[in-house]
Amino acid sequence: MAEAARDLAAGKVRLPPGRHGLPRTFVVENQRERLLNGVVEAVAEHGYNATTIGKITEAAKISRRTFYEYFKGKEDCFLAAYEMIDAHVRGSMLAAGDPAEPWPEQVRDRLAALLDVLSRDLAIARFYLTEPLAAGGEIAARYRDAMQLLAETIRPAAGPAEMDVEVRDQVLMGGVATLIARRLKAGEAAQLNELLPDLVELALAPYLGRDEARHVARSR
Amino acid sequence: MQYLSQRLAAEPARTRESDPPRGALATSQRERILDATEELIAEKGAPATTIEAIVKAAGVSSVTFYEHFRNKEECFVAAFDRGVEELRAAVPGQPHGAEQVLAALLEAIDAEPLRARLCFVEAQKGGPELRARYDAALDAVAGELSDSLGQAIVGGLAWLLRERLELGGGEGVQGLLPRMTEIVLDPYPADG
Repeated sequence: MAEAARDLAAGKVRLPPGRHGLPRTFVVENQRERLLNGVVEAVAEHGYNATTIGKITEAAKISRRTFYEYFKGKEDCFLAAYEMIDAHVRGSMLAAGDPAEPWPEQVRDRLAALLDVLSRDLAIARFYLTEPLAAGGEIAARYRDAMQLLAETIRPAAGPAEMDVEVRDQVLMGGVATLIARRLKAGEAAQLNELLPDLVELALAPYLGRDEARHVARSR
Repeated sequence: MQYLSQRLAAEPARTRESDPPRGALATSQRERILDATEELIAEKGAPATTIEAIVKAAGVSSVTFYEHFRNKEECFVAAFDRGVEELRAAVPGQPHGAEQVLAALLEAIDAEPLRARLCFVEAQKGGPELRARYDAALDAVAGELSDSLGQAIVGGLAWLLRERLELGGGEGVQGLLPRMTEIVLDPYPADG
């Protein structure tokens, strides 16, 4: 059943026409989720700017009329999918770090969770990490917030007082996004996990010093 | 994966059937077109910049435009390439340390804010070709650094510059010098 629901949500199968006995709320969720899946597919294939509502509904196998029952337009649909992915990514990172373990270990676990979640699906990774900047506007603003929140999940409770945390976070997330985007473009989603030592070192270096950060990142 | 080498190998985008016009007049026309393009993209963004607006601002005919460029995208790429070349020319080479290099870069950015906006902000929104160009330019800088951590730092600093240019309300980027230098030079030793 779980599998059937996932196939439905992924748009791989369609609901039978007519009276199928499924509750209305399920149908609604199913259509909405298929559209969210459709926007991810369309954007990964065409890029944000070239994605049209027609391409979204085509990928979702849902009528344009139904699209407008759920979303005001392309941006609205994109943002809804983005919220869902962002909650999932950040949730995975937060769940990965055990608060009882030392901070560097937490950083490693959380960055590993980030890479793991992105490596499972190339389209989702592109949608989440590389397309929002091309979109600009409200989407880019939402993306900035998301990156900031990710940076906060790996920030130590207290850093050097003289440090400009905002600048550090921007450089960190810019570096993380750059390395991941590079692999995504080369179609190497499956090997994202190889980036872990670099990301850990990048995150730890401002606080531990580069030598210690390198040591921690390359051990284990 | 040979990604970087592929990008670098793709360097000159000269697939035009006929050579572009030569001579002093042609050069000045081309420069004027690129000036206008730079300005329009910085002000309105690449998607909203049309050939019509470019030729009007440059004071050339659209026939002249097409003598130099096949289409809008090719013109955008040329404007971007020129901007990057001039930024790189402003930055001193080898014997200079990170702080001098960064200082020169930030100064060049503040001296030509529209050019910087084109290169760091709008290039990422101007469609796949321009974006690939942006990535290639970053790769070229990062390629001079051997390890992927160095590449991450280059990406991170470019990110920081983009954020400041886009959201900083025109206050300039030279104030970032101490922060950027400390990020490159690692000022927090283990006993910090």
